[in-house]
Amino acid sequence: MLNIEFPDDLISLSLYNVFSSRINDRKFIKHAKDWNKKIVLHIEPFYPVTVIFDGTNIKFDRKEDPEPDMKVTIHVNTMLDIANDRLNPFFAIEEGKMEVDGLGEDSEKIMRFYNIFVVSMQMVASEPNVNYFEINKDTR
Amino acid sequence: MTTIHQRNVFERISKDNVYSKLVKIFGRDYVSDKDVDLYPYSQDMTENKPHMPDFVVIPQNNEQLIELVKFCNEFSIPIVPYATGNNVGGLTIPDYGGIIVDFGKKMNKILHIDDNMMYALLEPGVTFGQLKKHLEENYPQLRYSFPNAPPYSGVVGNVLLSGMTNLAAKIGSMADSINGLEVITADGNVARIGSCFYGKDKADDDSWWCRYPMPDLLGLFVNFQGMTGLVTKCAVQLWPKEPIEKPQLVVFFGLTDLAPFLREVGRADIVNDVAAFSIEVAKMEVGIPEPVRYPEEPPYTAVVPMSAKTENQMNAKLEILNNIIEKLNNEGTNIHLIDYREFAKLFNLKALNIFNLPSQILSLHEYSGLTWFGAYAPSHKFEELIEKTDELYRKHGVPPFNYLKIMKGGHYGIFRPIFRFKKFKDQDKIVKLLEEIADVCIDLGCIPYKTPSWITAKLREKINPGWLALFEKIKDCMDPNNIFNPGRWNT
Repeated sequence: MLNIEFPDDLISLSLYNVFSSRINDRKFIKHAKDWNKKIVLHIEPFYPVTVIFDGTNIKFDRKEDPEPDMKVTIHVNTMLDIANDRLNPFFAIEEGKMEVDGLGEDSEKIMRFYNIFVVSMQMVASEPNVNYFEINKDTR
Repeated sequence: MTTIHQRNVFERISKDNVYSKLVKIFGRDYVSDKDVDLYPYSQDMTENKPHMPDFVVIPQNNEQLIELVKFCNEFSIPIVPYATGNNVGGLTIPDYGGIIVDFGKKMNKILHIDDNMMYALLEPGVTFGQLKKHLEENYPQLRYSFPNAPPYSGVVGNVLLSGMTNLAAKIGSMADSINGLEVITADGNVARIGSCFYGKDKADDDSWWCRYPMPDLLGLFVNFQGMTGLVTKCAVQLWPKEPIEKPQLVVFFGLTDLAPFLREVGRADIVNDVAAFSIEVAKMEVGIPEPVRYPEEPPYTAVVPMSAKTENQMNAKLEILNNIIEKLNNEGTNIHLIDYREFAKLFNLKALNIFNLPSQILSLHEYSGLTWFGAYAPSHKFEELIEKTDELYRKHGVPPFNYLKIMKGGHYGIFRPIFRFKKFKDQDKIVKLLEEIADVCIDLGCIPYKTPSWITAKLREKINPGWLALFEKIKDCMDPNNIFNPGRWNT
């Protein structure tokens, strides 16, 4: 099982929504568990967020880590084009619409990033996460 | 807050005799004087002081209501109309006791939908959810203009109080699209207002198609908060449902970037509505208990419902919207446009609640208290309103929940700070903030709607004496014994 920390900023909340939709998905668990990487995702025009994969935990830091394992910069509308299958993510890189630093030739890193981020967004875009009904007991 | 001086409801007739009369009119099953039945009507979610009614009655027809009004007028017994009790102004709290007339239980029928002239004839207890379902199932080519309110709230109450709609940028408030009313006045007279005014006893269902050109008597009942008569029927305009819908999300990175956008887009005639709100509202919607705005986040966002008859028309509208944003950004704002439905799927589906109206935003209602300063606002004062209220929110340590709109082709605006709070715990703090915000907004020319009497008392200090004299004269003329919802507007 994975633990996904519930964040309170706009972009991390979106990532939480995307990741938590696959929290019981074996393939997602396989890729996210023990990845132990810090990925900076800068969705423009918003701010960069560092996603920290640490053992079975996924955490968010709404700052850019100075030494990330990977940094991805993408405009929100390009991200929506990829999520909704209007744009192939590899073409997006080729066309300079998505900048990826730190990818190198590490095929495992490519595979994990693709599955955790791209596939999850595409899955949520086609079948939204409806598992959000939580009672906030503190406010009752 | 104002003090209410109690009056003796049963000065001229005993409570037992009133009960007997009510049973005679409505039948034993539809009258109650039991505390357990009366308690829910004694309060609402707001800060306004609770007060128990003496009776609740459930009417089924006009004959019963005519008899009730004549009886109450003879013995000066207050009558408070009630549909669903969801207003945020304490408007159905019976400040002087008397009789609650609960329309929501039996007088809740959709009497007629006119497909040709596009209107709905409603009884006072019809809810937004009921009307939406009825139209979707039977008249999918038509739509109503829905507010940011739960589906179980009443249409007619909101219409008569000039509530908001998700077609506000086109048509203005709900009261702007009333075709006609049927009302019972203090003497028991039944008046039909609007094109339905022909005919002695009854109007044909297809005669409620227009409000003009006779003298517009609707003004005697709109925004009067039930102080001038009992409305028993209301005809509201419907609109063609356009097949192409592409709601947009606009994000604003400067605190007041929203203001020029609202003014420009309002007059462009391309959007149905602009539902703008502070980022804290968006976070509250997805369940963050005490939302905080971080410096890097956009302070405001707006959901912009757009519809068109064809894809080409939609593309033209989007082109105009993009041009407006480009122009404003060249002038120094930092505004961005995103496809709303697509973004909501990634962000959180709950965000669609602000688009798919009517809807219940659970996290707004999950506290025991809810109140607001909902106001019509001069749009050239938006910047000042945002900045000054932002300071007040910070001073009191309360997250800013502001909603803004542009109305009727940009002719005026709406500014609505709203507050959820825990009753008996932080009510005093919220009321203090609300009072300070009310003072600032009124000073800047805002005019609150669905206004509780403690705020109308503030307004009275600023309203010109001629208006007040005319208002009092009309109230005295329409309701000489002050039986209709006494206390509203400090009557």
